[in-house]
Amino acid sequence: MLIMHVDDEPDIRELTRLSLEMMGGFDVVQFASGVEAVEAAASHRPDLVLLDVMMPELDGTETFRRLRALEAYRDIPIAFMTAKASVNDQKELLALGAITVIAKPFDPMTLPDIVRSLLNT
Amino acid sequence: MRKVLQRLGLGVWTALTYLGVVTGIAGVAVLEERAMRADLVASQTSDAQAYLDMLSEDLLSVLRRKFDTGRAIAGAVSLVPDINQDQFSRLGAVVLRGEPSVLNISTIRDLRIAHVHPIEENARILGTDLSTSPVRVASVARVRDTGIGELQGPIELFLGPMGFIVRQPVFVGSEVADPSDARGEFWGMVSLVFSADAVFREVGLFEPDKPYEVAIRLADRDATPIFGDPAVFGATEIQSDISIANAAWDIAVIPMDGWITRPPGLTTRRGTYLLIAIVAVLLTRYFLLLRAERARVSQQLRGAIDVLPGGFVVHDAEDRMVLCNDTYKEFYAKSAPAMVPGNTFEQMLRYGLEHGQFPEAVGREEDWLSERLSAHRSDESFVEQQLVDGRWLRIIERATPDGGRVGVRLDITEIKENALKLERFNAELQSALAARDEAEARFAELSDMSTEWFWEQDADLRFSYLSAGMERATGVDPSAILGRRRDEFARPDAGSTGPAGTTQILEALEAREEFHDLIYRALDVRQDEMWVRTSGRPFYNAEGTFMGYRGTAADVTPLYSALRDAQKADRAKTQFLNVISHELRTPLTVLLGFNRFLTRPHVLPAFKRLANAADVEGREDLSVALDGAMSEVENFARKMDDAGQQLLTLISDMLDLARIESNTVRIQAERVDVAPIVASVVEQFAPMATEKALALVHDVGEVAVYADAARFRQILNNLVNNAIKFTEAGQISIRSERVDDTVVVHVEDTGIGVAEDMQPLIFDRFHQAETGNTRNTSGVGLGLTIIREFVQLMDGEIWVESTLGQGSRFSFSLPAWSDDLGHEDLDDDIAAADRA
Repeated sequence: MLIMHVDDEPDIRELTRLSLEMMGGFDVVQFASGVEAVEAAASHRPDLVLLDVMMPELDGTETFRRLRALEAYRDIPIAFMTAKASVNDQKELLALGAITVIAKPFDPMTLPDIVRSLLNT
Repeated sequence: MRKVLQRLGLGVWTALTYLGVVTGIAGVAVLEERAMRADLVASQTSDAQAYLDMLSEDLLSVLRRKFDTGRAIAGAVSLVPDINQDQFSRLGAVVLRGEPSVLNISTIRDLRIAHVHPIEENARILGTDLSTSPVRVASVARVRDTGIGELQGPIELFLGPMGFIVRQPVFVGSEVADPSDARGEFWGMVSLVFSADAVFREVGLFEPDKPYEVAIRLADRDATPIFGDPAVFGATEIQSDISIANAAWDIAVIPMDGWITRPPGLTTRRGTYLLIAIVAVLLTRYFLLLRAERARVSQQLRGAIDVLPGGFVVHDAEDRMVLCNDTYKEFYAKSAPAMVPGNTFEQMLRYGLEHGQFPEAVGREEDWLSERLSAHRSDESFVEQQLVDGRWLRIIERATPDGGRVGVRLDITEIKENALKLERFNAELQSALAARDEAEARFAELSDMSTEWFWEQDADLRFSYLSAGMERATGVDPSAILGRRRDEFARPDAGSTGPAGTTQILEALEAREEFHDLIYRALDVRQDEMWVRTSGRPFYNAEGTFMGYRGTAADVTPLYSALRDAQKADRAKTQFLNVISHELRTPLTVLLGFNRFLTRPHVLPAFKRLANAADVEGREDLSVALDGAMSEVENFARKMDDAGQQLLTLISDMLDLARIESNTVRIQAERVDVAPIVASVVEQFAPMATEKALALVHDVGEVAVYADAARFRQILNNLVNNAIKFTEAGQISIRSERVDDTVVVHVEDTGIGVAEDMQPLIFDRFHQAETGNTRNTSGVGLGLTIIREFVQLMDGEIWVESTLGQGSRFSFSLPAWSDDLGHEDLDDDIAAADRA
């Protein structure tokens, strides 16, 4: 199972990779920005995309739209991971069509379980 | 009979009255006629008697004269017994002068006629022997025997006609002429013959116009007629008799035309009586009609008096009651027994006083009585009087021309009450006017002083009035606004930065609705920016016609600028907090995330390798040391995790609070089933409770609330979290109950509790900020403040009951879900909250 993860924070990318690979046994491909992710999207075929929201240049929502605009990504589940924890923010994000919103800080011990459950749905 | 009367339109008594009148007049007429007849008879009888008396007298007089003449001749002869014929003739000529009725005189001696005068006509009877006439013989014999003269006749005279003869005896030798004394020697006798007719003529019996028919007869046995029709005697009562010497005559008279039996003018008189009867009947009829009319008028008057709306009473000159109507008795019900015709007014008043008729007189009866009587006796009086039942009467009394009194009682209770009402109303009006004046003065003063102002728009919505405060507050000349419409200087703002006051005001004016505290930007009235807060309401005249708007306004430019600045600052703060939150969360994510691995060091590759190496090399000591190291790392990591989580909560709370303050909290109310969320929260906190050996129990029924599920969970989380945090032993229980239209959720613990004086303060954010340092409430954070806001945003309440050292019970209520009830109101409220 390949998880695409996009976040501009290297520490969080590392933490996420640790969690998903070490704890969850997933394959992880990571990008430091939305631009990179969109550019490289065609060369990957992830089962799930985890998108940070607050990113420079291309923020999470715009990246979401651009990925969704790609034929190959039309049906791939995309989840946001954000520190914008307010209920309103989450609702807005869900309204875009995200499968879920994972609040930061997240528990790296339980993140693989969440991802697994998302993949099963 | 009765039917006949009915047909004539007469009553029995009326008919009897007419009959009585007619009978009475007829009776009088009959009596008078009878009296007239009696008078007539008496008058005729009297006249006839007078005539008879006169006639008798005359006849007697004539006959006496004849006797006297005979006696004179007899006297003369007795003086000259040897008188010869010549002497006798001379004597006769002297004596018979003036006696034309005497036919002759003669002397008789020895039944022979011895002398006669006048001789010429009677010479042939000289010597005639009377013995051939037995009547004469008898007469001569009686005269000779009695010596008394005698009248003989009527007798057929020798000379032919019927006549009377007076014989007078002649005695000689006696000095005395009266033969009864000493008659002397009978010489013979003297006869004086006179004609009956001549005598009757002399007394007028042959007068052609004599009024009476006369009959005369001898009063002898044969009733020999002498004169007239003997039948007269049978036809009259008027009779008399005369007698001279031996002769007695009966005389009867009868009016020539018989007795008049019919009084003169009888027909006229009868006619008069008939006329009188008719007049009397008419008068009776008039009288009866008059009486009937009077009775009718009296009845009418009585009826009218009885139906008068007021009481009516009449007293006579002696002040005795004559009559009164029922209303009068009704007014004075307690005095009614004394209201008897004949009782004086004073008696009635005294009776009333004794029976409590006059409440106003109580305690001063005599004075009252004297005042009342004085008014009553004046020529005209007006008195007001209250009755015992509370009613008021106006008494009007007047003297009548006959000295009596007429009194009228009018019920003026209503007038009196109206007057009292009017008085009260006047007082209220005066007081209201005073209040109004005061209010106006207050208004004027406040209006003068105020920097707010009052405005008025006319029906055309043009400004017609602005109080002085407007110019003072804004520096704008009122003439710049008066006469203009609001939309001329209050146009909807371009852009979205200002409040929507202008639009709302214009819409409200259009819809004739009230508006309150709307802020708009006034354009073109002042050089610099001007913001006005205003409220207004339409006003109408008495007929309900829209007359315009009135309202207040204030220049809020400085305030509004400040407000806008504050809002900007607020938004900036929220923005800042959002950013800070994000910026804090990112390192916290890293910190907590990696720390989570430290809480489970055995999963870390390095530790795994170390443990494997120790195992492989059989280094028990190393394994022990490794375990100790991992345990320490784990222990410290947990502490860091706790602190990190606390920091995270604080950050969340700060964000929530910032949103609440900037009114950007979004509530999406829907049906929320309480039990699943409670179960989920319990499950979430079970490890935490277990760790502290606390029982976490719940007992909620199948209840649902109308709320935002996320906020509901947040509230419950906060309360359960606090409860576990501040409870060292015992249990935490979650219960729900239905109270009216709400569901109340209780979170109860057996922890340290909250001091009573603190209970009202623990939901206060400032209190938390102030006391947070001095109390061991770390971890409480701003949670209670926030959840109170959420509860209130969802139309609920939150409160705490607690005893220090024994435990606390936090409770919050939310509207119960009902399929029957719409929840638009809450939606609206929440929507409004969202907008705000």
